[in-house]
Amino acid sequence: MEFKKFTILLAEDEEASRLLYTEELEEAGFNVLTAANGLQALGILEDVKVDLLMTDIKMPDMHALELIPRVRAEHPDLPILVASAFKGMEDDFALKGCRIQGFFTKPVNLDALKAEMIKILESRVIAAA
Amino acid sequence: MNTVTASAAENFLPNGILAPLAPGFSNRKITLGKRDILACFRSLVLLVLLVLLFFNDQNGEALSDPKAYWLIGAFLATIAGMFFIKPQTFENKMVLPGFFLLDTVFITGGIYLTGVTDTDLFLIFFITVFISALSQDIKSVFGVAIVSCALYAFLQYKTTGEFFSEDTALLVRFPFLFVAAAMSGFIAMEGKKDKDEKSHLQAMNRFLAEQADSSTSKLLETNRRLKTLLEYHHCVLSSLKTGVIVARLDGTVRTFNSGAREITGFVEAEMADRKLEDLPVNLEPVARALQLTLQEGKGCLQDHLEIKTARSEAVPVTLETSVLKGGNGQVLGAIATLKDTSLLHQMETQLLRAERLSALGEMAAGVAHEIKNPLNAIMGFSKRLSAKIEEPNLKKYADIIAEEVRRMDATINDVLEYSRPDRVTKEPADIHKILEETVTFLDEKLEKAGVKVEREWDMEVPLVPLDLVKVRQVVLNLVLNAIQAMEKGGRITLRTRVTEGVAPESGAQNEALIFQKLFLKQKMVLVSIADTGCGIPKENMAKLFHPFFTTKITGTGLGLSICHKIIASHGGTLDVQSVVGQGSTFMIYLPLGEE
Repeated sequence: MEFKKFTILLAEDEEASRLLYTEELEEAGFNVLTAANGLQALGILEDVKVDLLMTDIKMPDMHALELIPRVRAEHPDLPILVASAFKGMEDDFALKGCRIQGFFTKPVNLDALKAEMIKILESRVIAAA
Repeated sequence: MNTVTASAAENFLPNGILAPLAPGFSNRKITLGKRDILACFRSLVLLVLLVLLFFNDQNGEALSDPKAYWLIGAFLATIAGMFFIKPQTFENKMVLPGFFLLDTVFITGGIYLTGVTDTDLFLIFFITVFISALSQDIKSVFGVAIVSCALYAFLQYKTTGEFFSEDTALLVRFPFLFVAAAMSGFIAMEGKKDKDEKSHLQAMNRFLAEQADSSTSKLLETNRRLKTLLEYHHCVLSSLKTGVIVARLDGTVRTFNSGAREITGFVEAEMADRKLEDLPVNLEPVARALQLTLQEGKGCLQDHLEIKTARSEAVPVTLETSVLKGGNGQVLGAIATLKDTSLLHQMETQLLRAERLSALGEMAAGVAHEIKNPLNAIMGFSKRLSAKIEEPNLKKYADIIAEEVRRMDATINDVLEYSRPDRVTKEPADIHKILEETVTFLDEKLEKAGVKVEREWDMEVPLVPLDLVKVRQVVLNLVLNAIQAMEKGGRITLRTRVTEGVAPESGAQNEALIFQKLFLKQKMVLVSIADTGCGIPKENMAKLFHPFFTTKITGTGLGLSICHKIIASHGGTLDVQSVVGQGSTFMIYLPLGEE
């Protein structure tokens, strides 16, 4: 499939959720990489070219509000989605100047998530072309 | 006035011999010094001398003799010369006798010029002797008399050539001169004594009058101060919110201030002078504490006491008694202070509730987060299961799991909604429009429930800065609650008005309202929603805004607490008044903000 070439990095400390996202996204044709915390995610981003980052907010080593600016420093145009148990945190990201492309509240509606990812990535392909 | 007259008399008769002789002068306000008086008398002597020179001139040459003019001229010169001497100089003891001696010399000269000694001219010496009494010194009077005698004797000798002529009358004149001197001297001394006594008396009088004056004014001043102090104390006592009850040593009520009246509902006039044991039974704790203080001589403090008012309402109070002591430490009675702590009590309770709520909110948020993570996986996997399983029953189970998770999630979202800090986006909005929209929206429900809506709107209410969606949610929630409270139908009254701070009739059910009531006078819009429903029992009133508190069969119990939070996040407050069986009134206070 065409999506094969898109690599998605999942930063999620909950193992069950990580497995769920991985299975669902791989089934949808994405190439999925996983990180159990913020530092792991930053390490992967250094080594591999990633097309989209989906991150949890609260992870054992760092908060998404800390992780995102560090990612943005190296990859200013990387699409980032946030999924969290905290509802209504979108405003916090906007207030803190963290640019994100989407926010999902747990339990995440997986179909909506996949649709959003495809929309973002396709629009980038079109823009690039 | 008295003092002025006295001092005028003093000036008029400095040490005057005339003082006792002419008391009438003392009322005049002309001031004559010793010098002026002396000048008058000497002028008189001069006049007499002139007259005698004229009439007794046996030679008929006296007035044609230039010596006579020299003599009169010299006399006049000495009189006029006196006015070149300072008046104070005449106070000197030696000055007056000096002038009298000078006069005797002039008189002697005059007599000499007439050339006859055996005439009435001799009488002039008497005048001088009398006048010399002005000096008020018997020695100088005698001095004048002796000098007069000596001069007269010398005159005698000059005219007759011998000191003692055969004329015996002449010999009699000398003793008479001394008798006159003694008499006038005596009168002068008496006069002086009288004068001294009088001036002493006057000084004494003046002193006493001054003392009396100052004592009177001091007394008046003290009286005025005392009155002011009394008024001040009365004002302090009656302005105090604290109740003050004072008992005398004999156990009767001395003071029962207006603070005590406001707290207890009993009137001062009925309490004053009553024996402590005869006070109304509701005031028994106060009476007992006062009695104990009187008996034991020491005060006591009773916190968290509850007394019943005249209308049998319970009021939480703090009662403190102390011994009333006088200025020198003697015991005068006992004093009790009564503080109404109901507001404080309420605030404490509210504060505690707020703390509890905030802790609960934090906990809810934490728990919700921990639950949502597993829910994420459960929901996701159950959906995956449902998608992959072909066997219909198993597929159904997976779907049931997913649906139950969705319900759990909804509940958790409610809790989170409540516990999460609210953000409001305020924009000026028409509060009447919000109310009207709500009524229209609920039209069908209202009709079905048999509820009529009345509007008592103050059209002066300006646009209110508020979050339209959230306030609409609050109004909707409150109107729905009102409908549900009136199972058999009824009436909802929607009122609006502008208030300054919180309405005085407010029951102040929460801390923000109490704060408003106590300290702020902010301009606010009051929107009240009153129903004629079942009302809220007193025991439920305090729990009304608690999350999860509900009396409904269905409902999370978060509705009112969310309403409360929304209004609070607007800087406003939500309050309620309710009477069981009559209905409830919810009051939304929204600040108008700075204009």
